[in-house]
Order: sequence, then C-alpha cells, then structure tokens
Amino acid sequence: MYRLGIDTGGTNTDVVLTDVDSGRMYYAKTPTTPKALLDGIMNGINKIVKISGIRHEELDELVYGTTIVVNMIAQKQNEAAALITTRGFKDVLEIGRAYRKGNIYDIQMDAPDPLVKRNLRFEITERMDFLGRELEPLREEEIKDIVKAFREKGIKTAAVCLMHSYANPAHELRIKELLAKEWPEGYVSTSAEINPQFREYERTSTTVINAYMMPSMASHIVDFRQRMAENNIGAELFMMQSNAGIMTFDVAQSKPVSVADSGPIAGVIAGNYLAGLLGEKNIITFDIGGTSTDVALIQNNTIKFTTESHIEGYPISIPSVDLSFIGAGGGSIAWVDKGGALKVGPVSAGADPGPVCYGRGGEKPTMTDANLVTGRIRPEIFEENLAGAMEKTRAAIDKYIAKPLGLSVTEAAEGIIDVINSNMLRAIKLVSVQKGYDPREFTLLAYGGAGGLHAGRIAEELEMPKVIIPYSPGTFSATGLVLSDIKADSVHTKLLTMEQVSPGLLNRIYGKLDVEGVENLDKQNVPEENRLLVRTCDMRYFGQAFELSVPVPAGEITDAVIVDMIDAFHEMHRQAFGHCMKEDPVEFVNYRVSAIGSFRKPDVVSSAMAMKHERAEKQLYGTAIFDGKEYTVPIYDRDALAIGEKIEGPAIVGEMGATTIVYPGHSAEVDHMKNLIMYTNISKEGGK
Amino acid sequence: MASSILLEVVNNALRSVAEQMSVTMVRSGYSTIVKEMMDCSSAIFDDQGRMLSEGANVPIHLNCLGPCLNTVITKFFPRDQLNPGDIILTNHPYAGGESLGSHHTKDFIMIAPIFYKDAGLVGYSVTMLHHKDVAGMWTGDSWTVEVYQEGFLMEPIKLYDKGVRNEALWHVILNNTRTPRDMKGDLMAQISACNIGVSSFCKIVDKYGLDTIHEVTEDLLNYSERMTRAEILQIRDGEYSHEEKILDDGYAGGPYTLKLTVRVKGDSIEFDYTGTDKQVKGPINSPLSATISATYYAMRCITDAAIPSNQGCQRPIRVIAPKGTMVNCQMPVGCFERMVTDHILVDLIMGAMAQAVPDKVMADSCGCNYDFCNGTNLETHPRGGEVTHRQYWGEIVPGGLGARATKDGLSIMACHVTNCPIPPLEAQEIEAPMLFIERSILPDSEGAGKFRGGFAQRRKWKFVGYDGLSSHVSQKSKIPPQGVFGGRPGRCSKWIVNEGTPDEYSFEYAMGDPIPFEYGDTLTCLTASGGGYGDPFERDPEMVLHDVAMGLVSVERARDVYGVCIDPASLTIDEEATKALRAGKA
Repeated sequence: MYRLGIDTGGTNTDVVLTDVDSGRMYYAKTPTTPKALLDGIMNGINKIVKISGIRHEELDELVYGTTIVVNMIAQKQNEAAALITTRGFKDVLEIGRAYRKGNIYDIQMDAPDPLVKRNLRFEITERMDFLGRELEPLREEEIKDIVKAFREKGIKTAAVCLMHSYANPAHELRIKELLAKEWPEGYVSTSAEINPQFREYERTSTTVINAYMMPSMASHIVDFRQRMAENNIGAELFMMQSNAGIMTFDVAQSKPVSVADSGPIAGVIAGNYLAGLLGEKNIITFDIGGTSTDVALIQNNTIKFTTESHIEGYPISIPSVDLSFIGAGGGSIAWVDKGGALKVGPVSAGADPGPVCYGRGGEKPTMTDANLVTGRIRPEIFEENLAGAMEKTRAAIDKYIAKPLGLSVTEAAEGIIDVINSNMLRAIKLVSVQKGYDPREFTLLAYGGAGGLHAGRIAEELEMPKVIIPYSPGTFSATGLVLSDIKADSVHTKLLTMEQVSPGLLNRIYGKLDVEGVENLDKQNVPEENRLLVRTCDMRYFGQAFELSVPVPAGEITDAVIVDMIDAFHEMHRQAFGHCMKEDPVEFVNYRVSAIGSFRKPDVVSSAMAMKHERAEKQLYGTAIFDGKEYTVPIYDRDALAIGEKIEGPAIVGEMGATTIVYPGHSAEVDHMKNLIMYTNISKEGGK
Repeated sequence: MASSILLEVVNNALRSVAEQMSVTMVRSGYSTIVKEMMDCSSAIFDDQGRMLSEGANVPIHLNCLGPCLNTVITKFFPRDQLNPGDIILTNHPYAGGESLGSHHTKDFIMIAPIFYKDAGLVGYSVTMLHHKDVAGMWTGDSWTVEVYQEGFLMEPIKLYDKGVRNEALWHVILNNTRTPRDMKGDLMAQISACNIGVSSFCKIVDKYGLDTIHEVTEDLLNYSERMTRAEILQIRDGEYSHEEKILDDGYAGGPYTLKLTVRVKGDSIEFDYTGTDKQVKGPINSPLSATISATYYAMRCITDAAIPSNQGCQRPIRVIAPKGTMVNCQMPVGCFERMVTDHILVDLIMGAMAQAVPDKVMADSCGCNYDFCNGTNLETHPRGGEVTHRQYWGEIVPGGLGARATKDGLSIMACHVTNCPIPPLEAQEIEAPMLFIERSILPDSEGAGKFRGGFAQRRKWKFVGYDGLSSHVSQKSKIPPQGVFGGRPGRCSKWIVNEGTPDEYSFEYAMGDPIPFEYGDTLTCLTASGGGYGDPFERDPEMVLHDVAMGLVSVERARDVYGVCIDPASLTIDEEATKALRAGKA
C-alpha cells in the first residue's frame, strides 16, 4: 500500500513516498513551477517513482499540500467574485473592525483592499434577529436584478452572508436555491455552510475567501485529475487543510477556504506524530525556512487550534492550527538603521537572488551569510556551491554591518544571529508564555533547512532542556502529509448560560453535529472502524468576548459532564490569564465536532532503524565561532552517525538540505529512529 | 556582546511583556469597551519612572501612564513606602493638585512596583483600563460641569498591600458602580495583567542580570532620543502657528479657540498652547497629562514610526500649557470628554506642522464620535443587566481620516488618539435590545483633493427595548475637518432621530445630556469625514473614475469638484471635456 505526499512550496516541491506496510520512506525535491504547478508536481512524482522503483499505477493514495489559495489571495487576481448581504450592510466587508493594527503611529499605513470590490457587493431585503426569528421576510423577487447584474459584470462566483444566519440559515439557503435556478452557471458559498458562527465581519470574510477561490480550485482539481489519469495514476486524491487534517478533492472543491493556510501545517502533524512515538507529550515545533519561521505549541500530544487566523490580512474564522509566524528565515536581510541599531528583516533576499554566499547576485548580508561567516554553515557539506563565497560574504557583512557599528566581521555576523534569534524568541513566546505555557516544560522540535542552526541557542535562551532534530529536517513537512488523517469540522453557535444549558439541549446539538460529521466521513468513504468524533465547546464567562475551547467527552452528556466542563473552563482560564472567577456564570457559545477518519500509518520506526550508515574514513574538522571564541569543531555527516552515538558540543552535523549545530556546553545523542536529540544541559531550576 | 545587538534583543523582550499585559486584559475583560474596543493599555517603567516599553492599543493612554506614575511616586508613595505585592490604584484626574493623574474618572490606573530579589525596587508594571461605570450623574455619559458629577474619586491608594487585597476599598468600589459584575471582571483582568508585568520583567532581569539591564535600558532610552533628535533636525527651524475651534455649534458658550505655536530649534521642539481659551464649564477640558499624550502622539506620527516607544522619544519635546486653560484644566472642572479636545490637538499640531513638514502631515480627520446607550427588554434580553436589567451598547463610531501627501485618507477608520475597534454588529444585538439598520460608507462625503480625505460612515440603529437612554458625543458639526494645500474640507457630523418619519429631528448640539428613547425609535449617525490634500483639480482622473465606479463619488461631483467628466453609462473619462473643464478653472 503506497501513499504519496506532495508539498508545493514557494521554491521547492517536496515529494515523500511511503510504503505503509514496510514503513519505508523515499524523499525527492524538485523546483516548483509557479506558472504551471502540475508540471513541477509531475516532475516530482516521476522522480520519486524512479528512486523507489514503484510504478505510477501502484500508488494507492496521494495527499496534496498546496499554496494555491495563498497565492491567489496575495495576487488578488479574481475579478469575478460577488457578495450578497442583508440590506444596509454591504460595506461591512470593507469596514471590518476599523482600527489600526500594527504600528499605531504609522499614519501612512493602508487598509487592505476588500477582496470583493464595492460595485460587486449587493444587498437584499431580509432580516433575522439573534434568536433566529424572521423580522423581515426574504424579498425573493430581488434576486432577478442581482442575477442580471452578475451576468453583466461577468461574475462567476458569489458569497452569501446575511445577518444572524448562524442562528437561522433559512434565507441564505433559499438564496442558494434561487441562484441555482436563475444562475446555474455560477458557484455559490453561503456563510451558513462555510462558517456558521456569530461576528458578521469575520464570517463574511471567511465566506468571501471561499467564494473567491471556488472557480480556480475547481479548475485546478479538474486539471490535477486529468494529469493523474494521463499518467496512469489511479490513487485516491486528498488535500491538506489548515485544521491539520486532510479531505478528499470533492470536499476541497466545495470548501477551498479550508486549504487557506495549510502550507506549514503538515510539519506540525509530523511533529506531533514523532513526539508521540518518542513519548514526548509537550513540544514546540520550530520550522525555519528561507523566508519565514513557523512555530506551534503541542501540549499532551494535542495540537492547539485557533479560529482567529488571517491570510494576507483577511480574517478566517474556521479552525486552523494556532501558528505563530514571523517573516524571518535564512534569506532575511540584516541592516543598520539610522539610530545605529542592528535589524534583521523583514526584507528577504528570497530564493532569488538569495544570500550573498549563493553567488547569484545577492549583495546584502542575510542570516545564511552570517551562519557561513561564523563557520556554522560549512561549504564542504552545504548543498549550494559555496566555493569562494567566503571572501565576498565577509566583505558584504563588513560593508553593511561591521563598519557602521564599529565591529569586527565575526562580531557583526554573531550579532546578526543574536538579533534574529531574539525575533524568533518573540515568536515562540507568542504561542507559549503569552498563552500561559512555560516553555521549560516543552521540548523544541526543530526542522526546515535552518531549524537546526538556531534551535540549540533558542532552547537555551528559553531554558528548554531538550531539542529534537528529526532525520532529514529539510523534507520533514512533506512527511506530515503521509501521516495525516481525514478531518472535517462542524460548528454550531448557540449562546447559553449555565442556567439555560441542559443535558437534553447539549445532546441534541452534539447529536446533530455528530450526524453531520458521520455524513461527511461517509462521503469520503471512511470505513466504520477508522472513525472518531471529537467534541469541544467554546466557553467564556458571561460578559466576555473571547472563548476558550474546552474538550467534551463522547457519548451521552449528563449533568455531571456539564459540571466537569465548567470546572475545566475555570482551570483553563486560570492558566491562560492568571485568574478565574468560580462564582461567575459561565456561558456556552460554540459547539464543535471534528470528524476524523484515521489512516493506517507507516511504521517509521523500523524503517529508520533499517537505515544503513557508513562512517567516513577521516573525521572532518573546521573552525567555528561561538560567543566571540574560536573553536575547532568536528563536522559530521548525519548519515554516518550510528544509532546510540553521542556527541559533545561544539559540533556540526550536516545532511541533505540542512545543518545542525550542537552548541558549546550542549550534548547530543542519536536515538533509535536516527533523530538527533540535543540537551542544553540546563537544570529545571534555571541557570546551568 | 555588542551593545547595539543586546539593545535590540532586550527591546524585543520588553515589548513582549507589555504586549502580553494588554492581551490579558482584552481577552479576559468583561465590558464591551475592554473586550471589543480594547480600551486598555500597559507599560513597563524603570525604577526612576521612565517608560521602557508599551503595549499599544489606544495612543492617548500611553504617555499618560508616565505623568501619573510620576505624580504617584513623587507625591503619594515614595519608594520607601512600597513593598513587593503592592498595587496602587487611582482614577483621580487632579491627584496631587495638578492635572497629572488619570485622564478621567473611568480610567483606572494600576501601578505595581517591581522588586527584584535583594536589589529592591527595579521598576513599575502599569496598566490602565477604561471601566464601564463609576457612578456619576447618569448611567452613561453626560454633560458634566464638575468632576464630582463624573463618578467617585480615588487619590492614589493601595488596592493591594504586600499582596493582601484591601477588602474595604474593594467593596466601596463595587458598591459605587451600576455594573459591579463587569467592574469586578475588568478589575481582575487588570490586576492579572499587572502581575504578569512584574513576573515577566523579573525573568528578563534573571536572564541578563541587573547591571546589564540598567546599561541596556539607558542605551535604549538614549537611542530613541537620538533617533527623535535626528528627525527634528530635519525640520526647518522656525515658529509655526495654528488655531482650531471647539464646540463650534455654540453649545455651552462655544465656539472656543485652541491655539498652538510650535518652535523648532536645532534638535529640540516646543509646543506652546498659550492663547488657548480658559477651561470651560463642561467635560471637554483636557488635563495636562492628556494634552501631553496627544502632543507626544502627534510628534510620533510625524517622525519615524519605527523608533521604539519609550521616555527617550519625549526628551527633545517641551510642552507649554498654561494652567486653567482647556489644555491644562484644574480642579474642579469636568474632563470626562477630554477626547474631544485631544482629537483637535492632533489636527492643531498637524495644521501647524504642515508649513514645516508638508510631506509628513495629514489633513484634518473626523475626530471624536460616539454613542453610549442603554435600555431594557426582559423578553429578549433577560440576563446580565445589572441595575434594573439595563443592557448597554455603543461604539466609538469611526469616520474618515485626513488625506496624506501621497495617499488618500482612510475611510471609516479609528481616529488618531483613539484606536478602538468597532464591536461586531451581531455581538451588540446579542447583548442589548437594539437592531442595526445600516452600517455603510457615505458616498460624496470625502474632503476632495489631489488626494482625497477618507469617506464618512452612515450608521443607523433601532431601539427595541424600554426605558432607553442614549448619550452621544461628536464634534465638527458646524466647522468641517479642514483640508491642506488647497484640499477641500470634509463633511460635518450629524445625528438624526427617527430619520424619514414625521417625527424626524436632528440633535441641535454635538454633545449634551442623555436623550430618552422609546421602543422603535431610530438614531442615525453621520460621522465627519477627512479633509483633502492638494487641489482636487490635480487629482489623477483615473482615481476619480475609480471612486465613481465604486459608487463612492457621483458623476456630478466628479465633474463639479474634481473637474473630471465621466460618462455614467460606459464609465469612461471624456478626456477632451475634462481637459477643457480643468483648464477653464485655471
């Protein structure tokens, strides 16, 4: 049974193939072809088919992680999307929450352009109230004029978002029916189906993104299927979602917004899976790529979710993995501002021209350049050809950083690394300290090409005792694709206070959501024995505006279960904010069910254990600088390290697409799965 | 490690602490003004009371924490009277005899001294949060003439003494509000935020050591000062004056004049408000601490916004505000609506500085608009109303902002010194007996210009409860927001009751006492819009066409005001006619 994962990134398309029965994994990388994504994808498939010796028609399942949504939204190419709202509210999408985010002193800032322009937003007479009562009936005859305008303006896809439709979707669904009749050629997304939660701006934004994406997603899926058929690939096709699950192409076609921010998600899934195998309950995943760093916190092997994510400044309120993102990575450019402070980013040299040391015309020093100059990236084992790059790179750091600050080149290079580390610390603190989690109780799991370069120092700063660098960290994200399960989220909003809530009411709500989940799994052909329904409830103190998500047990909800939910909420509140108010009434807001269809996982453990290693004949050494001191450090080839082997820092470990530093004072060990486990040797009480 | 690097690292850490404090208040707060409008702020100060970092939500709060902290530690609680676990609380605008306390009675400032191991006092963790009700004349806002009508007053007092809560004070506070439950939830959030500031700052000291922190914070303040001075050096030396009017509709003896002379000399700058009218019998006077905040804010806007916000930014700035005027009011006049004056101060500074730094200023903006209302309806909203089941709603209604040198002004955006998000319409309807009829962009409302001002908002709701009361505040109802360099003024604000019915009437004045509302009454708010920048006849015709296509500017207005002739059917520009029309003007 063969499962294929395809991760299309900005620069590379990573492909992972696993033989689920034996656990064997194969990896390949090919350049992404942005203009015709499928060309790059087919190149990757052909490459891995060749490496593994498997035939195209033998592939059983294919999981696709795509950035097409992010790309489309960023480029704002779709001129053919429209929006229908309740009369009086077509500008809600443009007005948003109407405050200045980011730097409040920046009076030159711009508000993002609405995804649907004002002349393509239409109003219809109708009104529901928050109790779901119809205050004004739907004026169905108005649809005719709207459809006429759709045709005149060449509209292909429409979002429908009416006031309080989460409480009563009747008008939205009726509009959908009418449009199907009057405008059969168009795509329709209703907010009641996409995101039935209160808060009209966020619900509208989510629905609009969905509508915006429908036509391109549909045609992409058609092309994808056709290309697979042409190549004799009959595998079942799945797509990665931002909720850390996958879905069939059919589901993806009707709900493209689910794919929105799925890029970095597969890595988090792989991280959690690996952590589970290693018996690590609490980890922070730390993914440093060329232009960005993504961080997620996993507690008790449970991934954290948020319903307040953004894409290009537009809110999305369907559940997504709670990621902290900063625009800092290997390509981030270092500079000195006019007050004499050293800054790194947000400008990135990207893949083209890339860092100075790549020799492709980059002139400004980047994080990668600083790592080269300090001897941490080794020309002798790095993939890019760095021959002769050192001199040019030193000159760039000297010119732009060292001279203006009156530092030596290596001091400046270490400075660049320190500053970028402090930015990354802020990203980690966002998901940990700021949410009430103590990073000292977590293990750092670092991957991406540059994760291992910085992880040791970052962990030390946060007093995290342990760091895990998985085998082949450069393709770790793609690995997550073949380790993921089907997942479909359903939500229902009904505001109930403690006195109003009852077992009967909750059983009805969750019963309905369960049915919805089961139907969804039916549609995706998930066998009975692989199904799991996970319930949560968003709760808050009556009067608050933000909710915490409390787990709800499966099965019948009794009075005792409700008491447990309330207790759990008090405790979560105390952990998140430092206090709880047991005497205050608690309010139940959103009810959620995640329907999960689990896949059989490859046995990655024995697969890793079966890997061969060949010790190099002669141990390499090189000079590297840490905290201003020069060290002679051993340079290891990752593939040559034996299971159980121990390393004392400082040392450098290189492999395909990634470098790992074992810092001075740290130590490392190769575990039974060929992961590199590093210890910062910090005691839990703090300090060394 | 080189100091410039450590500087950036510690600056990041300090920012992180202040941001976390603000997030805690917003996410665990109870009342709408905190949880949806983020009307709360926080900052970390060193042991000398110098601000090191801020958690920026509402600009007017931030620099007010500094003067208030200074008043508290010089006049009430010198360091020998402070202990670990203390939290000092005040809401008194005139604490210490000046107007260098809280901005108004609803703004509670909490100060937690930070003690570190044996080193003693090392800093202060300070939060400020706008509470919903502190008693006062009405449930809601109103036209007050004395500060005593604006609620109970607390000179700085220890709410926590060595970690033990002052239960007597706690009960007095909760006994003197119409909304004790919300008050308690918000106080708890504020206390937690203060405590988080204390523990997080100590962790930073743990990491770097106290000596390093002293050295780095000194450098950090000097760095911001150096950056600010470098910016001031680029401003041409000279004196720049400007005037603005307030209570322009004649209410309470208005209009009154606010006057400013800016003196730029080398790398220093002086803001002199001499010539501003005396304080008035009304709530719009600005305490000195608020005047300082508004001035610092405007200064930050016209200098590099990326300079770290700390006390160093303030060193090159001198503010002169004569005592007893509207910009430095003295006991016992009201000051609850000081925002009305403070918004104008930003326009006043922009207007004066337009002569000196034309590319950095913006035209006048909408200023301050808000409505705070309440009413009852036991059938639809049986729960949560605390006093006679009253439910509250309202928002700071954003209008249009002024145009900029190279860009249009933002439409419907939180104005300068307030930066409060608008609550979701659905959330407001869930909480209170009211229904929104409309929230939309008001076409043809912008101040025309080469770059136009932001469009105004049209917002309308219907009251579906009983015993309703609505307070409103707006400004610029007779004198519109001004344009600069030939830009046209924006439009005035207006409030209409029962629009389109035989009972329709508009509020005579932009401010005043609460108005009673009956079931079914509607209130329409038309905000002010932003002024334009530069001659509208110089506006790129394509930009005019875009606004027409979006239904924001009418074909007539495009022709009359911008000199651009557009065919309404095809939405194309008649180049010939446009050229002729524009030439004719010249």
